[in-house]
Amino acid sequence: MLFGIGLLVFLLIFVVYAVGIYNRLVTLRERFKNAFSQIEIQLKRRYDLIPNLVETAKGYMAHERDTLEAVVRARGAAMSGLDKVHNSPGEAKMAEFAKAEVALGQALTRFMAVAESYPDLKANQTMSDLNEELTSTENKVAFARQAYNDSVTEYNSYKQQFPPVIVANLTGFAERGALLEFADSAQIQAAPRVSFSAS
Amino acid sequence: MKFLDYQAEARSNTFRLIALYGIGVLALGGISALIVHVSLNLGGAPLEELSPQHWSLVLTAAIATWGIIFLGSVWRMAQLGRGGKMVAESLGGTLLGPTPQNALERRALNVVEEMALASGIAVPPVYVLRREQGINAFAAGWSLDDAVIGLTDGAIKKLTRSELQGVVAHEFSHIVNRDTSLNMRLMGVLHGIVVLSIVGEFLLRTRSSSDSKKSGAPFFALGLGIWLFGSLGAFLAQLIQARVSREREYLADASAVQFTRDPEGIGRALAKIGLESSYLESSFGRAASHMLIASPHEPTLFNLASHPPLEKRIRRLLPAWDGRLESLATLKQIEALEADFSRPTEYQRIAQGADPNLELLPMQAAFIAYAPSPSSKGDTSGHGAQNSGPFFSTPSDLLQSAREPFEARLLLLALMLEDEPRVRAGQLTALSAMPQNELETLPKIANRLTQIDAPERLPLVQLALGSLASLSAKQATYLATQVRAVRLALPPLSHRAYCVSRLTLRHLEEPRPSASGNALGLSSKAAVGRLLGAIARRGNSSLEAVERAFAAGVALLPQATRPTGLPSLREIELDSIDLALDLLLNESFESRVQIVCALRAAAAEDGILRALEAELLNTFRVCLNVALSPELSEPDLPGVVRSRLR
Repeated sequence: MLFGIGLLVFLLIFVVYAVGIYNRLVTLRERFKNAFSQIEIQLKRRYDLIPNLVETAKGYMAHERDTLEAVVRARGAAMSGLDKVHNSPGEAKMAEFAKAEVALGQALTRFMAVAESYPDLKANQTMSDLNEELTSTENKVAFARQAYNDSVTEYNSYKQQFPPVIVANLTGFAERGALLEFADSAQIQAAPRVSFSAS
Repeated sequence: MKFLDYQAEARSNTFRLIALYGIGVLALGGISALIVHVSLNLGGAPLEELSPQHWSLVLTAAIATWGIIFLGSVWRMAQLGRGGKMVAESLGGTLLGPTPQNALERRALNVVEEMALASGIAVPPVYVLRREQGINAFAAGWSLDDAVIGLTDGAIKKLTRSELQGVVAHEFSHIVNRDTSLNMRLMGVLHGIVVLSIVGEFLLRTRSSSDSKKSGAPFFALGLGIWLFGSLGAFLAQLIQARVSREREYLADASAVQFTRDPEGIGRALAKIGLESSYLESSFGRAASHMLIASPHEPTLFNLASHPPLEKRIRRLLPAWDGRLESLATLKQIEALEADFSRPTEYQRIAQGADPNLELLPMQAAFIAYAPSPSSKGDTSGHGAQNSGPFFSTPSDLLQSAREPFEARLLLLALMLEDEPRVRAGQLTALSAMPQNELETLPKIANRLTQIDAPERLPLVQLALGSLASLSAKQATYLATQVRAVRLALPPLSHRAYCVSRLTLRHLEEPRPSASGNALGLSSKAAVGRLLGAIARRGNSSLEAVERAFAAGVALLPQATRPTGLPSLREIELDSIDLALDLLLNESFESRVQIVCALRAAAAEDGILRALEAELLNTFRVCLNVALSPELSEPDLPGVVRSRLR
């Protein structure tokens, strides 16, 4: 009988402990979801800027239709990728989205390189404002992404530790948080300037 | 009753809480022992005939119950040590970023910002409980600088601006009255008692989520049993929550009126809650019920509500009310574009008619709770369109930067840069590990900052500090190292930049009381002297005035902490102040309150609160963890600076 009670007490303590781990898992997951919504905000801002950019450039670089269309297409792909990730995040979807983002980054870089050769366009005030805004938004994306990856890493590594791993598998926390890595996004990591100038 | 008395009362409540908790724990242990006793002795044998083995089992039951409760409490406290963020996340809150998804969420952010700047504390992060459609709100946190505000989706969508303002003001008064830290303690301690019911619920839920497997049955029985016993615990917990929190709600309602000068806002919000509901779906809500503005669950059998009845609360706010909820509120979703701005608050009216020659002080400026003026009607985007509130000379793009973590960080670092070229070069060298593009912008920002009026620096800092909430732990640590590096490169008397660095560090790291000052032979008296001296010397130019200010502060201090003489300039150097602040954090709460009152008296001695005086005062009180907003609790209006501060 004493043994029975001892066992019960032991079980109870174990369950209390498990509930604690569960709560921590919920907290960590909530935290990285929050961090992702911060990236989303900045990304959406960036997607909103691009049509303006293209619209402004159109008048100057009518002969560069391909470049412009490539940017618009890449933007569309990245946007739908973000939608998919928003609805059902997962490592596969996230990797797909990251790819679309990198493609958009490359299209934009090409566009900027082409725009360089149009002095009138370079001198256009709207264009340089938009460019500045875009750069600053990209910096914010990079920063928010860093925060997101940090919190995903914290969640993933907590989930893999010994007692949590059991609780996580029993209670539907099996899926790992997906990191958002832009594999070869040199142009985003080395974003040139931050907008703070008095404009 | 004055503001600081409320804070003291919050402390005495803590003792009551401990007593009630003790009784509750003893009772639960006793009951479980009784259950074991009765179930082992169904035959009803006389007590003398029971074996010692029987009694040891009974004792085990009691001790085990106590042990579990104790463990539950201790462990929850440890978790809550992480601050208000943790509470918001447990309730499933989503952090509202600098650019919210819709006009309504933006409006909520604006309202919180207004209230924070009006009460002179850093803008707290705002969490939305998107899954909750009831109208409710909470504030949580251990201290002024880790507080968070939470609003349910229902509150954001169903309240008008002035109602929302009342609700948010109610939550702010919980923060400045120190209720939140009492509540956090209550939540941690009670967790031990409700832990069994949570465990039971958890087991029941685990079963239902794995329905397909048949192995759930024993889980179910065990869960049900524990849940029943735990409900008893929850009942006791409710008893305690009710005891501690009911009075505080009246107080917070009253303070909300003092913040907004508008009893109708909060009154109508409460009426709306009465018509709609304030219930939460999250099961965690029960443990947090004393933090919310209205009860998160249906009333129980025994009138044990953690909140007074809404009717009574409304009656106290609006004595002329006819008793019908419908006469105050109609239920409809607020249209996103409906421009329902509240009328200008009293503060704003006073400021508009203020003597233009009067130097505008940061606190006073901050008092102008910036209900957007009629001219901005229809502009629900609010942010940045027109400068408002305490900000007159700050360009709107700098304000926008302060609301965004990436740029708020740079803004804070730039605020710590000194103007003197050699010093600045040293500071920038200390930061050379930063990415080049960010480093280059710092001097640019700093140069723009020189153009804003001095009294607007503190509100700007407080705005920027609020944005740091969305940094990851790694980013926060990195920023802390950067702030330290900049701080170390400061000349010994740059108090202005020092205030920014100290406030920022306070936001990024847990404060640890340290006795290193003691080791260097620093007494509390001398430490208080240093703080007073810094405020007196930096706030006045002639030695005579310095001495007068210092004496005004000293007069308010008891013997134990009364400094002997005006400290030398050497003693008010930044490192000396650091030591003094760390040492004084060890003092009792009452004594810290006295110190802050003395500091305030010294700052206000000449009747003018200069920007630097306000910055020092604010930094010191945050570092000493004393909420200080008496201006908002005293009945007189902030017309004349002197009368307010005295």
